[in-house]
Amino acid sequence: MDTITFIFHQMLNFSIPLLIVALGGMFSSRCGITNIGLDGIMIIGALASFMFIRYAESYITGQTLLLLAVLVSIVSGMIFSLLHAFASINLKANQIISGQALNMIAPAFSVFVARLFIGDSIISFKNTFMIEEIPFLSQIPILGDLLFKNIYLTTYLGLLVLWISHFILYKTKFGLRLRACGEYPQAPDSVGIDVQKIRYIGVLISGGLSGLGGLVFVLPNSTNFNGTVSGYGFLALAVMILGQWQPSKIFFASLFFGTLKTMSAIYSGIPFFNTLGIPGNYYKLMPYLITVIVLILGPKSLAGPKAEGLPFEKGMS
Amino acid sequence: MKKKVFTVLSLVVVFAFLSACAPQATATAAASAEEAAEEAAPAAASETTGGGDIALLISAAGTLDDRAFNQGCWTGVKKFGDENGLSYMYYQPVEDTVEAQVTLCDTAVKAGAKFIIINSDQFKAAASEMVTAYPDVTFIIFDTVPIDEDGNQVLTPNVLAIQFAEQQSTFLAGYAAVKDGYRKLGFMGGMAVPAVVRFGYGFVWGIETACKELGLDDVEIMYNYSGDFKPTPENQARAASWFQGGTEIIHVAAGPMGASVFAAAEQNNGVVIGVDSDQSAESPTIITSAIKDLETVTYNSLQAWQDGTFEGGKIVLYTAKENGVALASMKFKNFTQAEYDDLYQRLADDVDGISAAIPTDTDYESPEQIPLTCAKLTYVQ
Repeated sequence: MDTITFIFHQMLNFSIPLLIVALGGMFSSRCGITNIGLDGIMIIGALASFMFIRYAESYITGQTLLLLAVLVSIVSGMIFSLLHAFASINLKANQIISGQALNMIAPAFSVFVARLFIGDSIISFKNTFMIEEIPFLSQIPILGDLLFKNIYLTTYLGLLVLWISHFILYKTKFGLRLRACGEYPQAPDSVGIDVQKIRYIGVLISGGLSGLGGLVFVLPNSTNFNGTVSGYGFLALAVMILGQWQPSKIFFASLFFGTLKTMSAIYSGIPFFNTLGIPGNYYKLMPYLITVIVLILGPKSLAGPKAEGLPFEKGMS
Repeated sequence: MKKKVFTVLSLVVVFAFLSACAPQATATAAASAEEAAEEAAPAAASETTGGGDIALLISAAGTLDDRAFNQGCWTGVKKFGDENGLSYMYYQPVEDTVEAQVTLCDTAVKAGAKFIIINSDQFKAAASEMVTAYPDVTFIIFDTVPIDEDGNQVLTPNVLAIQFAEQQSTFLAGYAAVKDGYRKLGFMGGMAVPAVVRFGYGFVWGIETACKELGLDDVEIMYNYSGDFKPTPENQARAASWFQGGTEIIHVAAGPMGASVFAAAEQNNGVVIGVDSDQSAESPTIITSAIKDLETVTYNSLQAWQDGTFEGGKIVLYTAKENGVALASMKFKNFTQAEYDDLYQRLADDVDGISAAIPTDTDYESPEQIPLTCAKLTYVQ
């Protein structure tokens, strides 16, 4: 049981940031803007929030500090994604190049800013954020151990983001308009909806969520932030595609990825997996191999929103 | 059209602002924006203008502030530069290819470098081209020897290859950990470069030696090279799973990747032995660090160069005898300072061939081949 709980918690470390960032990517794609700059935005979100934590941790600690850092990461991610929005919506630039530009500038910018302000490219932090136990709820058999012990607030936040995303996308007027802008922008335009505005909002949401994802990614996995998220923004893109641009499927895709990634990392420490005698490389290969298989055999809906990546000129059809 | 002009102009303003923050940013055609950023700090600290008189080249796989290998070296450079009014700068290639590394060296020399420190094994091939191309520049290279295309060592009079007996520092660590009462130990290396392998083998041998002395039969070692030096969830999860599986203490020899192991230790009540520099400030879980004194050696080499006593064309090895390796900030429960001093002295004097017996990277292909009679080793590939 301990082992299963342990694997589950490790899996969350992988899955929750992937989930949040993939949902961010989804909002951008569904409104018609390809955003491959997720990785760069994650870095900026993590940079801003850990700079904030560094300066604030002598005054406040624990969940209050974490919540404030969450806000900082979201806002900084949004601001940074404005560059992409401006280039791809106003200037109608190639969205792949613009997104890649974010990925390239972010690590360098992070080192630059960190050294400028604190004279060190590595931002250390004290991890006071783990919730050891939630009273009453932790007494529930099985679930209590899994979800209400030794857990980060950000895990719940990730699930909340999932639920809100689903709600916005399918149950609100805005969600309908957003999806329309990604499929056939001429249609909403013809009834007087401002496509550019909707697309701006879509990219901003993706920026906010990616920034948050950066914070969530670094928090449990290190004792400092050193200007990289190890390419997890790109992995989130894969999760988004595997999840067919739908929140519920993205959720399962991120759990799936997280589980396989966890297996590939922890098999050596768990006696059960050692007795199986499967070479480590098979575990490491698995997430990518299965993604490729799914993409090859996958249904046609894997093609993504139809108008994604195409600039929209008002009044033209 | 107006909009585009506006955009271009605002970008110009932004970059003008950024470069104003970094007075030194235009001094060299640095390989990436990252370097330009880095120069801001040293330029403010030293008086001289132009490029760095002293240049430190680090590999693309590492980072300057790694709390370990590069940082120790950089601290020595900064100290010497500040005391002697010399400017200094560090360079990092965009990728670890010979072309990129040689270009980096050209950049450093054009910027005025007269003393170049090459850090890490990744430069092995490129270094041979550098030292022959610039006979007037003095080089020291850590952890490796320049090798030409045919595999021959290139030791021109302007280069000094410096190596450490890493295996001795981790021998101390492994020995002390077992004496202190730990029975299940782990080693996590980064890439299997010679220095990391030496750290690993020494650790294993230290454990084995203490195990035999105490006559134990329940000592187990987990051993792994992660293949990178990065703090990733994979590395955190691996360390966490070891702690979960009963490992009590992990020695991590992988620069920045250490942060992931520290995080795993904090979350799973484990303890860690750090590497290269004294890492005790990084996490309360670090009970000691197996260090090689890069800072002092760097500083002394620079001093010799300035005094005109620099002797190149050879390889020097720093061992316990030269105080090149040690354990820093020990927080053991049972293992005392006196025991440590005694062991250290035995290592330095090589009593009963104790230090000669420690295996190094060239002795065995894989850790499984180390002949262990007491401890049991599991090599995780």
